[in-house]
Amino acid sequence: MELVEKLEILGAAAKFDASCSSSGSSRKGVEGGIGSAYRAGICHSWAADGRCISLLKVLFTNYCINDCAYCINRRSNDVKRATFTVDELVSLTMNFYKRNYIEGLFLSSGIIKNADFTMEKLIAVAKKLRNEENFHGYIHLKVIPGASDILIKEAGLYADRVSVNIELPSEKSLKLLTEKSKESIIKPMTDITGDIVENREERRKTKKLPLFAPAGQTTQLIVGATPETDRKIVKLTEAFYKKFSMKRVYYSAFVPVNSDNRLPVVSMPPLDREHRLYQADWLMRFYGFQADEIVTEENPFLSDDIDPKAVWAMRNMHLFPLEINTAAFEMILRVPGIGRTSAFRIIYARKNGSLDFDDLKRIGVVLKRARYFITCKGKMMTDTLITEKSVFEAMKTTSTKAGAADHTYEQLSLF
Amino acid sequence: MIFLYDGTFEGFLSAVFDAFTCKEDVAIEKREGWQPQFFTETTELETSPEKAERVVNKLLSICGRRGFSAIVQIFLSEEENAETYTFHLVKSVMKYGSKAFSRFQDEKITRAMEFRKRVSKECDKILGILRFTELANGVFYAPFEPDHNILPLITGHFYERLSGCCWMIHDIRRGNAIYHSKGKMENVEFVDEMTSHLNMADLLGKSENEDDFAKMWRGYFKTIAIETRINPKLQRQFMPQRYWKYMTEKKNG
Repeated sequence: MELVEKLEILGAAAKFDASCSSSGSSRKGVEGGIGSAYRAGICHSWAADGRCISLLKVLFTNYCINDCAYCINRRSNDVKRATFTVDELVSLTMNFYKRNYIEGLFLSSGIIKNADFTMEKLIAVAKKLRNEENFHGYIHLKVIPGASDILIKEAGLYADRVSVNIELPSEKSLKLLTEKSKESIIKPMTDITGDIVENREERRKTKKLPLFAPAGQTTQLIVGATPETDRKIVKLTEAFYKKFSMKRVYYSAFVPVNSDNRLPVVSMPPLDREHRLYQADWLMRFYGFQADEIVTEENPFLSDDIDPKAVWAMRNMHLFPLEINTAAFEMILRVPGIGRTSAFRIIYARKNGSLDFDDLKRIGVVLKRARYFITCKGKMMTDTLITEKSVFEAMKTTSTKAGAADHTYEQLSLF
Repeated sequence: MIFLYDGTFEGFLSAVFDAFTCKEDVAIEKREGWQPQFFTETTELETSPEKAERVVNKLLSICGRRGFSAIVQIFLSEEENAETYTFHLVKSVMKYGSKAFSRFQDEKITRAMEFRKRVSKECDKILGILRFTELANGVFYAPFEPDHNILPLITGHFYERLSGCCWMIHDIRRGNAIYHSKGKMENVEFVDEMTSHLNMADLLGKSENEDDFAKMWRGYFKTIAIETRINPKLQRQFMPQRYWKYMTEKKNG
């Protein structure tokens, strides 16, 4: 089979994985070598669906011994199959990289023979890139569920980021739809976290030790294939961040690619729900929110009409209004209509003199939303009438379609 | 009083130095294209590297590399009246130090920072969408036409990243290019003005494998899009059409 055809099959087979970022690593380039990592990550192109292309995202093979209900590559499906050789992948990566098409390689795979056998193949590619091609660009390796700790340790030495996909938010769902056990997923995650912590500590003593997965670990789960609540998903996400120090949790709105009576019948992927979950995720990572503040036991689902930050603010009107010229940074962050950039700007700008509403507008605050929660020099913005109805109308997202478009790509994942 | 300078960053800094030693209120403008006006006094300035260097050192000592690079970016934005805004910011930095950058109470500074944002946004975008072509002589060649004069701002990134390659990045619009080989970067001297605006890939020819890799990249680019999600508007929002001209995946072939 021609390489160009393999690339098309194994690119198509990997396209449902939501993770795209190339961030979190600042691996330096070396003299005479090729590649460096860029801390914030770099997007190199945008496909016709508007998703960014950063890494060459491919499967090593789409042959698989598993038969997971939601997966297009399950063994019972009749699809075209292909397998790369190590050399083919190394040559593709190097040549694409030198032309600045990509930021590096994101390699995943169907499972051939067993987890360890497959994992060894992925490692062989990364190893050759690092050791023989003098490659210092970004490498993201998927860890195959059930792979042994020794192999994970080796993968982390070559990769910037490693990830194991949880795929489904509960053990019950995993049992129903996959052939993977919860143990086979949680175990490698735990190992990775342990290895990262250990590596960071040892490197504090001696800088010469090689880095272990400097961009950390991520995971992904499918939303809407099984009946879990948003609260369950948000709490699980929080646990991933707190217990496993994960860098990202990706959500993937369920789209049926197989007909299977274990799967729900849906006509459209729950894109709006996925979008709200990403907003909740942002609140936890950048805005200092706890999962319990975002989704309560009484309201275990995120609102369709209003974003979770505004929902929280409206539930806590007794904490507002805030005086912008004196309020603490942590509280300014929680005002609807004020993002992180604006919050930082407010903190710096108010050192130069007190701020009024015109200044806030220049800073980039969305006053249409923020006005209900703030005062400048003791005064609310003129004509701000606070009633339940007026606040609700101002907070309502007229259409989440535009926002959801940012995440239209997260469909379902494979491995 | 209006000071006319030669259009280079060095010339501008040198004018800044003279403006600070001048007792009057001064504006700084490019000599090229200047329309003489009644009642305005103008002085044509000689560029002095020594004066420019003193301004650089002064600014570095006040606002550090970060602040200084913001000033450079605003100047290189080539937006309308970029000199005026850059000069205003420099004056504010002299007066308030680093705090000047967050004086959002000052409309001119807000505008200057807006220019800076545009420039750094374009830099970030170009770091991703610049495309190199391997020429028949083995040089990796990247032509582009940025809105702002960002060539000097992006070469450092590729210097570190593509250390093992000979490469050339060419601003076809402005006719400037930087060439890298074995750890050395230099400005390319074109034989004449016309050549400086030509695509070297057409002139020098491509390497043997070039078309194969370009073809595979185009194939991958097509296959990675999810059919049920096609959204050209979103694609253009992230990747403005004016940049497509030099992007391999957006060419036919």
